[in-house]
Amino acid sequence: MERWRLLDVEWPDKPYYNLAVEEAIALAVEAGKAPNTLRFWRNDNTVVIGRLQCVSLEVKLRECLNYGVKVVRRFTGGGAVYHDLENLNYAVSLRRPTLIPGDDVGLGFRKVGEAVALGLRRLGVEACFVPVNDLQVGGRKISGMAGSLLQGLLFIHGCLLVGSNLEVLSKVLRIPREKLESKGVKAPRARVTTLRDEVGRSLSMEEVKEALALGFEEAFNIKLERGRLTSWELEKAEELYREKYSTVEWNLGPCVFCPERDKDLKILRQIASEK
Amino acid sequence: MVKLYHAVHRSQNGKTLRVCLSVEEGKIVQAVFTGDFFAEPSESLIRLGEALKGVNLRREDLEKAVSSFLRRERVWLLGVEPKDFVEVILKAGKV
Repeated sequence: MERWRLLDVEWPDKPYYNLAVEEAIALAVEAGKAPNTLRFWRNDNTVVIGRLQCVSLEVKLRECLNYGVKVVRRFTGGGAVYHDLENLNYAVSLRRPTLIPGDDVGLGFRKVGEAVALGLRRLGVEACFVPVNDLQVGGRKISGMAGSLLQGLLFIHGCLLVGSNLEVLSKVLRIPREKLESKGVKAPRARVTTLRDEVGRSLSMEEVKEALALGFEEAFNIKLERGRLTSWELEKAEELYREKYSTVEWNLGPCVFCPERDKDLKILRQIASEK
Repeated sequence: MVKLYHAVHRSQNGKTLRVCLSVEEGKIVQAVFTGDFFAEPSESLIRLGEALKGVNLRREDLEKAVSSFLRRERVWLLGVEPKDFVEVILKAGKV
């Protein structure tokens, strides 16, 4: 049976570094410097936007400043999400070729979604995968995924709403009218749920991680072994933190059109400098 | 005179595609696509915007330019289709 590394490493107050570690792990697995890996981790009070999103159009930056919310861009596509300590992130780095047919990202979402759903079932919650990249419980989203296909790697990560503060989420994200209309709901709060709401009792993060780990073992037919970051990964993470994730250029993105771009750049700097 | 436009389009798969567009005399000067879909290599999205420079705001011209770019650069998309790029530009140009 194949063995995967299980990493439980996080820097909740350093979201830029957390994302740098995320990519460093992916690059290490791709380069064959680390085995296939499942990582659990959290950010505190952070908006994470998709690789292809315009931060000015998706995020209310001034509100982020008011609420002390950090903003960071990830290296995978998909939509903006709000992370706090009650949100659990899972990330899978698989060296290609993987057992997923064609190393297809869409099928990767389905397979990882199946693993998470098996984990949630252990907690008494029935979740189902809804394409393109969501897990839902009773028609409400509980987890969203994002992914990337590199030359030698299939990478999928997602966030699971364990008990997040959804009020902050709706204050700091701009949800396009077109999206709300198409979902047939007025407020984003109405289309998401949390694990705590579904289970109806308080859950420890350890309990959730344990259930998800078993779900991954079952779905992928693998054995997880606790491991740690290698020195190569730590060095790579430092470099990515310094040269990419902590820079306003990366987080601001490519949309040179925005009339407020200069103002947004200043706010992003301010957000990054706040402790 | 250069005019600026922005539009949001929802794909059939429920993904959001935005465009910020500048147009002069019916031709695209610059186009920047953003959204919550997936594309690899991700840099190709910027190059798509550049490749549309000088293209007329007409459906047939846009379809041709978008599909030939995506094929040539072997862009992989998930959540949106080539036609969605055309739709969002036409929507922006209509405002």
